Amino acid sequence: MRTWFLLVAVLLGFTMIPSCREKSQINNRVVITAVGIDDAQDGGCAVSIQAIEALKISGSLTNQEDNATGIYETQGESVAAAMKSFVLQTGRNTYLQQNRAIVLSLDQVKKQPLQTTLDYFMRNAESRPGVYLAVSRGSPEEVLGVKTSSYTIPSDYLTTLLREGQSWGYSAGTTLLDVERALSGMFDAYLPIVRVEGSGDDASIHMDGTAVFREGEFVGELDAQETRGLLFLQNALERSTVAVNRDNGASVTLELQKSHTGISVSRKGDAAAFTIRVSAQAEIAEESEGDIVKTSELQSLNEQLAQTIEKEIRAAIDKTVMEYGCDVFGFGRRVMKKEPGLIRGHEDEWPEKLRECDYPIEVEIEIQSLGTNTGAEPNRVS
Amino acid sequence: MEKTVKISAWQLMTLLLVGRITVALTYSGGSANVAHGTDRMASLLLEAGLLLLLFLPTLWYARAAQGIGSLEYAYVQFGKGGAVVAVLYALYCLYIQCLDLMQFDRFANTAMSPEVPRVLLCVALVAAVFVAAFYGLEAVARTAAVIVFLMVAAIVFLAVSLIPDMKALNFPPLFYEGFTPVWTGALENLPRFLELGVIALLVPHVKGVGKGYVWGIVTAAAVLLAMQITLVGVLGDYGEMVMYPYYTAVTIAHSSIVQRLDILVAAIWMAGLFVKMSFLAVLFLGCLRQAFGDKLKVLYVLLGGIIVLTVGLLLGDTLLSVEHGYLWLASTVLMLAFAVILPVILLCANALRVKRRIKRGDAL
Repeated sequence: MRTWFLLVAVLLGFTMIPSCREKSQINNRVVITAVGIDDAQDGGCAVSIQAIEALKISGSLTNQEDNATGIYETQGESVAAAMKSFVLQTGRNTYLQQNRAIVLSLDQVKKQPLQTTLDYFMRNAESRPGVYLAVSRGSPEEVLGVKTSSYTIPSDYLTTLLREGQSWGYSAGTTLLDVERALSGMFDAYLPIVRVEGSGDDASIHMDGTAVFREGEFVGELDAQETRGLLFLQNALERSTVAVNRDNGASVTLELQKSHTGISVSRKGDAAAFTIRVSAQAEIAEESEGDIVKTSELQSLNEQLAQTIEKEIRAAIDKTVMEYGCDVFGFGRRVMKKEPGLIRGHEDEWPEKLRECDYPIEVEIEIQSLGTNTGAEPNRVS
Repeated sequence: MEKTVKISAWQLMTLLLVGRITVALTYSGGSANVAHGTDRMASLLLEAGLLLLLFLPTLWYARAAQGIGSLEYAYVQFGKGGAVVAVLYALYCLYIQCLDLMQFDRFANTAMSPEVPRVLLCVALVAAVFVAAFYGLEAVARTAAVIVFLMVAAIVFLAVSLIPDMKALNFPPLFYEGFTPVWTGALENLPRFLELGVIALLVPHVKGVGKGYVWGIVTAAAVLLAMQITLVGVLGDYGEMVMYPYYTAVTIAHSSIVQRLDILVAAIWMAGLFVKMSFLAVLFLGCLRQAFGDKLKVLYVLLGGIIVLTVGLLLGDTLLSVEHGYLWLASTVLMLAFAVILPVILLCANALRVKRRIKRGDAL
């Protein structure tokens, strides 16, 4: 009895192994590594697919010397239709689990809300929530086509740029999960904007601000300074370099480290006050004109740096909350948690009401050292 | 069921814990339109309290019956009519197994990737479950102890590896919409713990049934709380919008080079489901053996497996479409019938019998 059962169980097990069940060869599958979605002008969308070319791979991907991917173009009424038409055109099945990035064109995000454009990826069980998202100023195909000798799979280059860009304060790195959270009503979404510079082998991807959305609809952009202000507010900044101009015209570049932002909420009449406290440590990274900063001057440098950061944060709030009327920082959510009586029953009015709120900003910077420089005066040349 | 077989209170705890965790993986507050997020955490604690409260009739029965199981007790009270109770218990076990298989089939169909041949998977699972029934309660309880250790270790590992993805802002305020969602959430989830109805059956087979049950519920509440904190911390309100929030949260988990840990959840679920269904298959077989004898035990098992597969695979979609309506009602009625009404009826019948005997002057 047991032997028979074991035999049947083993046979059933074999039938469930995908490689035994499916007869398709590896080159019949398109392993997608990045997807680009553009407005097709005729009401539909154009989808670019960056996929690993099975026949280009020799051995493991890590041993690959050259770019192992190809770009495919397809169109359809929707993303799902375009994907389907791609399968019908090529006779190859798509495999989405290795997808690393989704790039949307600026035209596409202006035309269609995020929930519609990304619905296919949010519903698909194969799609991963950790996929990076970006908006391209030009065609997404251009972004997907940028190759680099550093990576076998070009989308790795894009995702590394987005990830590192966020920790260094250059780009508002966003994943599909961030957008999914945003679309659940917790806050508004934002996506980093990228553009391609150069062409052919010299082409490279550059960060170019942030696209901001209200309930999934595109409302406007943030520039580089406002983007860093946004990252400060999101407590997403790990380190960054900030240049401060001194009174004598020389500039000092400081490297920020251990930045931390806390936001507290208090009631202010019918509105709220969001006190933003930023604390960070900094180190002098570089001085122009060899004009050495003395230890005694650190206090004024501290203040200047704090003012610069405050200005960037203020600019981000002014643009997103005051101008665009959106809540990318989850201020409404914070009121719900700390002062629920203020918002309960009036949730829909709050994005507007945020304009009446106060946003005091307190920045505390501690310049820890002058680097390896002692700050001593150089000897006079005799 | 072998009368000599005894499992410890700790083993009963592991059996119940496995069942609770397995069911929790299918929980979807969004589709039920009840407590979610932080409220669901409060709801879990309330639910544990209610489950302990609902256990009181069984506990009362266990003390009054002095170690006799509800089935044996039914035979004592109703003579051959006890067979009806045995069949009802057997059907109750099949009902729970059908529900579990339906949920698993839907999960395999909608969330698991790459696609698995779900019918074959379900056939293999049910076959293994009903074969395990021959090995008895002790073997299943021992397996549960191993599985529960792996389950809890996996849940802790996933929680720790997801800490960097958790954000304080993702936790919605507690009681923001009052206490109603907490209450409805607890009530919605209560009849998912149908094992409560078979505890009276286990009285002679567990050393310390009360202790095992209470610890099972308390430990399960702690583990489910950890799972809820993990999924809310990662998904925030988005957890309401997906069918399997815990599974979705885990899809982003990674630790060093170990990625795509969602397969761990699928493995946990399969293992948990196997233990839970095997436990019920043992009880199913025990009831039928008590009612109709030992000779046809292979037939009972075959019949049970075919019923579970047929209902689970063919009627699954139809029944799950009324999951929060008729199915909830049916489960609630059945749970109350077996966990509350039956022990009370048995004890009342005994009291009546004793009274009659005293009246007649018979020896007790």
